[in-house]
Amino acid sequence: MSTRNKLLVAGALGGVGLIVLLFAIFGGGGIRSYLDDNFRRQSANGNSIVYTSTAKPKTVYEQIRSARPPADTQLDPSGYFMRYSDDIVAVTANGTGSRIYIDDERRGYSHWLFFVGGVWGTGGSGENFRGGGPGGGK
Amino acid sequence: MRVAPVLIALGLLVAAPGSASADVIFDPADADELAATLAEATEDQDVCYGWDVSVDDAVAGNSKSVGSNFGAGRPVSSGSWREEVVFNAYITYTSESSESEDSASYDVVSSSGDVTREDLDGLELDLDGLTGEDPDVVVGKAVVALPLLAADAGMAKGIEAAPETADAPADAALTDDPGSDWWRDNGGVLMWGIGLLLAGALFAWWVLRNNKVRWTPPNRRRPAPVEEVPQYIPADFYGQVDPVPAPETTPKPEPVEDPAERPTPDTEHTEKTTPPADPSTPDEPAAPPSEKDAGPSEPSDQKDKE
Repeated sequence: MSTRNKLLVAGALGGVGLIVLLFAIFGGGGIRSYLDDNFRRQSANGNSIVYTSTAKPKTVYEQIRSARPPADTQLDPSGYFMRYSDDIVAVTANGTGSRIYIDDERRGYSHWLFFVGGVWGTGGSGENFRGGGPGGGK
Repeated sequence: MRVAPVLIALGLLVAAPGSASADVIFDPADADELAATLAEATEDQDVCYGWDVSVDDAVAGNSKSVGSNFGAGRPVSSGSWREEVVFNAYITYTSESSESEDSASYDVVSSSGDVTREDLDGLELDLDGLTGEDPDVVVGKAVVALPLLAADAGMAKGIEAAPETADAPADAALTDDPGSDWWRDNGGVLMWGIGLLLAGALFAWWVLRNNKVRWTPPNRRRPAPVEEVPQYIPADFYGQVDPVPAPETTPKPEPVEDPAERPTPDTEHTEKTTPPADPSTPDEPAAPPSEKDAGPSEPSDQKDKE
């Protein structure tokens, strides 16, 4: 391979890296913009917004989680709860479809304390399944 | 019409979770809480839920953790329900001296076959943690997800939840820092971009370094050699000799001149190469300028004479 071709390969590598870098920096918005772009807004009260979807909760949950990975997820028979740096998202059933709630972390924790209390913070019913296992693992 | 709620209430009383017995996976309180959660789901969805975890411990022996919406320690077979979904797991703890690693397997069994292990895997609950430090957390998450999977499979309706509007307790506050959303979303892509950029730069540096001697910048390169056209073509250029020499290429003999008319080498050399002597130069031999040599066109000399 000639020097010129090698330099072209190096330039191509750097160019792709630059594009990926710019995509990472300017590519995606946060969870709020994602929900706004992909679901129908039903109501809003300050930072608390409710969206709806015709898809089932599990589908909506998987869609959101893959697009904007949450820091943590809590499951309950009533729905899926996802924690982000500044927001809490809950996906629950709404007839045959879904209802998606997003609140800032403080209000969200208060709204969904029954489901996530004691897991993501204090004041709930205590962390679920704290332990007590056999402890025989290695 | 009023009979149905009463029957349902009686059924729930019968199916109310009992007290937890000794459990190899859960604390008794956690097992009771999990059973109560399943009982609520059963009430809403009319589906029986349960768990059955077998533990094979090389030290402690075999043991089981069983529970359902009927209570901790009570399997789903404790009642008769039209539909049921059960999480089964098998955990093997080897001894410290064994070379074998701890292992675990799991499955989801439903009476209708609508809910499968693949549905559970779709939630990405990290069930590899069954052999970790907190198997109770993993089993608990998997069991709690059963009503969600049943609703998704169409076995039952989804359970709706509404946000609590009352004020939270004063001590209710988030504790852990979840980290940056941006970094979680883009950190991997960012690292890839930086890596590719650095790889390109390093490769270019390596190529230039290895070709430093041979490679010169374009503005320092020598021009391409120009093909020179000879002034004349030799006679035998095409492999044949021209019998008659071309008059232009034949060197003419110089005419013989009379030696007397030829300039002496000194004179000729002086005329051709030596610049005119400066009379004021002290190195030159002082030759008295004659009037003939001075000539009439030198007014300065005339002034001197005057």
